[in-house]
Amino acid sequence: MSKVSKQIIVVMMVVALLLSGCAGVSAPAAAPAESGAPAATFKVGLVHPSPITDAWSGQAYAAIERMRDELGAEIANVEVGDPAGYEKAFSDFASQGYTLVIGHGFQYQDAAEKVSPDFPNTYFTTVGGFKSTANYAPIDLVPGYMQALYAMGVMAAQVSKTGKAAGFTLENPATKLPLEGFRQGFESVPGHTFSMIVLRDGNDVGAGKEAALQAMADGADILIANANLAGDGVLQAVAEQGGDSVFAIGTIGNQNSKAPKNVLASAPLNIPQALFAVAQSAKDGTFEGGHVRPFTVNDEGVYQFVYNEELADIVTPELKALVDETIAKLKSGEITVEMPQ
Amino acid sequence: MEWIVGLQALLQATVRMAAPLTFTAVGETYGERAGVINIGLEGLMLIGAVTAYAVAFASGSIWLGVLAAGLAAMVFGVLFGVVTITLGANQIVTGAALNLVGLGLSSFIYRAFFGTVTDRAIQPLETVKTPLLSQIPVLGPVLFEQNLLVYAALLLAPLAAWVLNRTMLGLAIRSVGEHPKATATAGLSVIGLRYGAVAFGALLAGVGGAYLSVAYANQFVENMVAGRGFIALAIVVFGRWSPLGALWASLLFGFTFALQLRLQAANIQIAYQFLQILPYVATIVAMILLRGQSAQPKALGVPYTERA
Repeated sequence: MSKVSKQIIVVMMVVALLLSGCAGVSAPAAAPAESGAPAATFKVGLVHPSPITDAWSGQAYAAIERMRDELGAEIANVEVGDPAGYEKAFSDFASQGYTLVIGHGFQYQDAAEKVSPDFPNTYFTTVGGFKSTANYAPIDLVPGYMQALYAMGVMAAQVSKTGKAAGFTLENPATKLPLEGFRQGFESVPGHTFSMIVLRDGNDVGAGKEAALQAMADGADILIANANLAGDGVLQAVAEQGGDSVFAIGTIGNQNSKAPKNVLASAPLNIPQALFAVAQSAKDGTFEGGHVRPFTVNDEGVYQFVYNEELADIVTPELKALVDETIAKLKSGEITVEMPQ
Repeated sequence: MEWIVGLQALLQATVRMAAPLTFTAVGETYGERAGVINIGLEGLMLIGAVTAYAVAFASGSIWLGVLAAGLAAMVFGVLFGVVTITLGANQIVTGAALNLVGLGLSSFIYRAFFGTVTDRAIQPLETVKTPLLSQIPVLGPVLFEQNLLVYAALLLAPLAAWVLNRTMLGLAIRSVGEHPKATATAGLSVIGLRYGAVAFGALLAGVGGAYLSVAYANQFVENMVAGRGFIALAIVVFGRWSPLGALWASLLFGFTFALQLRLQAANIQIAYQFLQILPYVATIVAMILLRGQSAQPKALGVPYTERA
């Protein structure tokens, strides 16, 4: 083979490698040009891991749009998927006098912890995380989500005929703990048992589907998944094989349409509402750093339920009232959801 | 009676999970028997998965999607051949690059074409009941109540074994992997046979990936192959470089995978981490038990040059 054709092949390989990088590497920062201005105006910067057309990052973008419309914030966002760029993205925003910098994901916590002491006039928050500094407080949505799913568990226990429910989750605590809340609600009815299935890969739709089919073969008639896209496989299994005897609860977003004859209700997590509450506190100057900012069902609007209207004969007004009553008891502290050991 | 229903569900899952592994591992068996190791199966499966999904979505035909997936993966298989067979580059390094290309390219294509599409549903591949045979208790539903791609995987392995062991073509493929010089002396084209085996292997890896997106999950998800390409690579070794061995190894892996999910669902008091490693431990144990006569092709991974 001639030298020229070898060179052509090398060029082709390089192009292919560059293409392969496209999906993971971010676009450069789209922050406004003016720099060094003091924080006279209220400015919010968002660092997010995926395109804003994606469900996860889209939520954060919706939140800052609302901050612009309702709080008069000047907003900017940048997609940073590569860990090497985290710190730079945070300090870029902070050095331009941003009031609040949001990292949309727990993976940003180390960068926020490291950068925040250098910029005492900027507030930092991340969605998830457990570290904090004087002007950095991550938000923790898990405690409230455990409570919300507890209420769903209480409702599902009334629907279940076999008394068996199965939950599908991933290795990390943020996906697992909410289902522990569901367990406590479901098992609060005597004789009801919940089993948790841990999946290895949040992208493996096939494994999620098989796991659901095995749980159904084992007699579970209530399924709930909090396992990223593998959870879609669970809902698909229920839609295909669940008939009129197996039901599911949707999580994170409204998943009722994914199995319209089987999802009783969804418990969407209103992350924009939580971020908005943090932005409000940053604007008022009541933002508290130094500890994790936990959200519970007492934070209005963050935890919601969307009932499936097509299953109104199963999810009766009495059941909805039971959910409301449970939430009221959780708010007053009459019922508490235990953190598992 | 309840345990029969339970067993049936377990075995059905076994066959469903084994199918994509069987396609990919049988194809790789051919490549490796011809002396070329392609560790880029994960990437090829991803290319197959995204192509099948996109074509099925656009055309409405699952089968057109599967065909396109096979052809797309074959193009990359030939490209792999150019680098490793013609240019004699290191096969492992090139295969690793193929994995990166497959992961990036499949995500890129998916985002480019489906980034703004909200209704991404495709018609799933239907289950076809074989008349009479599906009436057999337990085994009937397990083997004869599946979709057509599962039947294809089950039939592929014996057919591939027959071609490899009983035909002149099979003899030629096996000889290039054992002693390419002798094959060339006999007047056969080492380069041609290796290209053919690698392209065929890539085509089947593409079909294996297509199975995941259009016959199993009915959607494409970035990185949805989730390591199956690497498992298929291990299955080739475990199956002692024979197509039937690959089928049995795939079934064993599928069974233990389904079993661990079932045990987790049954709430038995064993930590899930131990259950999760069950398929991998079973594979290692089986390989230890079956140790002995090595079946590895002698010229595996060695580039062929006429001067050597």
